[in-house]
Amino acid sequence: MKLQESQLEDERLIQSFQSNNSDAFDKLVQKHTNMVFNLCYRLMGDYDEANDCAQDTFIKVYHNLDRFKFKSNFSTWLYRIAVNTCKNKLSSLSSRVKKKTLRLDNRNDEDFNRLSDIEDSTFNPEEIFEKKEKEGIIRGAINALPPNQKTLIVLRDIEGKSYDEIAKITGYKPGTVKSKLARARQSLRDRLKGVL
Amino acid sequence: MKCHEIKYLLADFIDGDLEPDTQSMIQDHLSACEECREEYAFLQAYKKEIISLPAVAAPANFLTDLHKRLDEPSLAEKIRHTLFFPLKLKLPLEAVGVAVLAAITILIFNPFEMGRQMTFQPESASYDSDIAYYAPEKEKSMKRTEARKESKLSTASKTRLADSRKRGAATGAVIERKTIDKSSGGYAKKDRGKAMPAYGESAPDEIEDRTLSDETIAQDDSLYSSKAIEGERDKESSKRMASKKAAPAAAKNNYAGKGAIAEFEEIKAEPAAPEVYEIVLMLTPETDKFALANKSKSKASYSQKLPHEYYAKNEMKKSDSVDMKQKYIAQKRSGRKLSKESKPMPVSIKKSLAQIKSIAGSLNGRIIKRKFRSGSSTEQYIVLEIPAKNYHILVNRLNSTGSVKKLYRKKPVLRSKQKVNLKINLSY
Repeated sequence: MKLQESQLEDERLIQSFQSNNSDAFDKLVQKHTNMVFNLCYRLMGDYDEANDCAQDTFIKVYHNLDRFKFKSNFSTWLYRIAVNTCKNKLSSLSSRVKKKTLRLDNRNDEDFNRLSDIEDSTFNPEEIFEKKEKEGIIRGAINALPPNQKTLIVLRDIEGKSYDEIAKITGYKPGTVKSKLARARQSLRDRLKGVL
Repeated sequence: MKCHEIKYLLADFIDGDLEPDTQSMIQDHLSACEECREEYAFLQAYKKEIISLPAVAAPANFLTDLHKRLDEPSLAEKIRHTLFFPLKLKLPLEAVGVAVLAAITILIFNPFEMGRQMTFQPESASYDSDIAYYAPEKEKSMKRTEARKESKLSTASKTRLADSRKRGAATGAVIERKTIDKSSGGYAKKDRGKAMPAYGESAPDEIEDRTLSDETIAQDDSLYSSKAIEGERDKESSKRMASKKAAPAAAKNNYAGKGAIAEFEEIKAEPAAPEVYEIVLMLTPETDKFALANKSKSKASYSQKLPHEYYAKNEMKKSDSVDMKQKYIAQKRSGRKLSKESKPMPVSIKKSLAQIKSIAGSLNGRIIKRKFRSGSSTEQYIVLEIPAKNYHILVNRLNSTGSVKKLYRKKPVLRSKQKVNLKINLSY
């Protein structure tokens, strides 16, 4: 129900935007900012890169929203744009150079501080530190995956999307999605031995 | 089910996305297989950790920054604005800039002048030599035209021309009435058609007239003396227009019109003193064997006068060749000059060509090109390069060998490097 209500609200805002109501676009952005931003962050592995990708995603949405024909959910369409934007950026030369120089256990201190802003109920410094340490390792392992596998892991295991939705977002067949996911998890298992 | 199939479905088993039959089958397998149980344990921990990965908050000014980027003009818009706005100021400036660039390009490359220069190139081989040698009257009209044009030269140019004539007369070379023969195969082309009157072809007397004797030089000099020019001017003042039309018209009748017009236009320009000639020697054997008298080492043998005594009206008989050879060798050994009665001895073609090369070398010249007859090792053309002042001496020395039956000469137009065609018939 919640999902359906969310989808109906999206359709209403889009129709309002197509009727030259610019405020509708702002509401759409505010509704989906965190979702898009986190997706970009998990795919890019860097806060500033994630910000750029998220901005680029919404700029593309702004320029193409007039042509949206409601054949699929707006969130699926938005995810697709975000994934492709991040993929293009990852495959660019500068991004590949940056990735090669980044070690698996090397955390970005700014990102670490941003993560610590999230509220945690247990006030145990050692536990908090160990937890963040583990999260960093897991993020590092996910970041080290090839872009296609990383996208599938993020969409399925983190975002909780169905195989059909992932197939629509990535353009793969559902069977291909499953087999690639199994391979990605096997890679993660090899990297996270002893950690989990 | 096998282990790899179970492992493939474990993640969905954890999520509860499988059918009940498949779920129970996997459950039974897990109770029996330790490896699959380990895999199951890992996936459970992995799912738990990955879901608990904290979310990241977007920047607070995300929407503001987004609007800034949306309101920013695109790159094309920026370029358009930079180039054309404000219109009143930028358009005139840009128009001026384009005009200046065009002017600079024209100044540097001079496309119009290049085109004009190319039209000066005559399409066919030398033409004025045909004028000179096909018909005496045409040569006269050429002379009149040249005289008329020379009258228009500045005083300094006339002085320079007179000096060059004096120098030429001293060395035996007439240098101002030469034309460029562009094609080395010019002779071949001309020979195909109606034969042009060869240089000295018809009779020895004509050879005398055409060769560079002192009389000829004196005649030419008189033609270009100041008195002669003035006289010409007076006499031909009424006929200038007719000659002007006749000479290029005659040229046009015989050749491509462009070459003739170009030649006259070139005469307008102040002629530069030539420095080097390219002599193209075309060897046309009448027999398989060539005869070329040995070059005399004595300087006295290279007189300025044409050794016309070597040309006899009666041609040498073949039966005399052996005797003549013996006589010639005897004369050479004695160091005596070749007398009137002595006739060339037959020698091998290689020796003949070696003599030509040695003559050129002795005149500070050099061979720059050779062309061989097809299918043989016998040379057909030799292109020599010699200083202009030694041209007359070269011709004399070639004549003095005694075996040059015919000597063709083309008159080059004044340029820094003129090409002169000499066709040599080496006779037995």
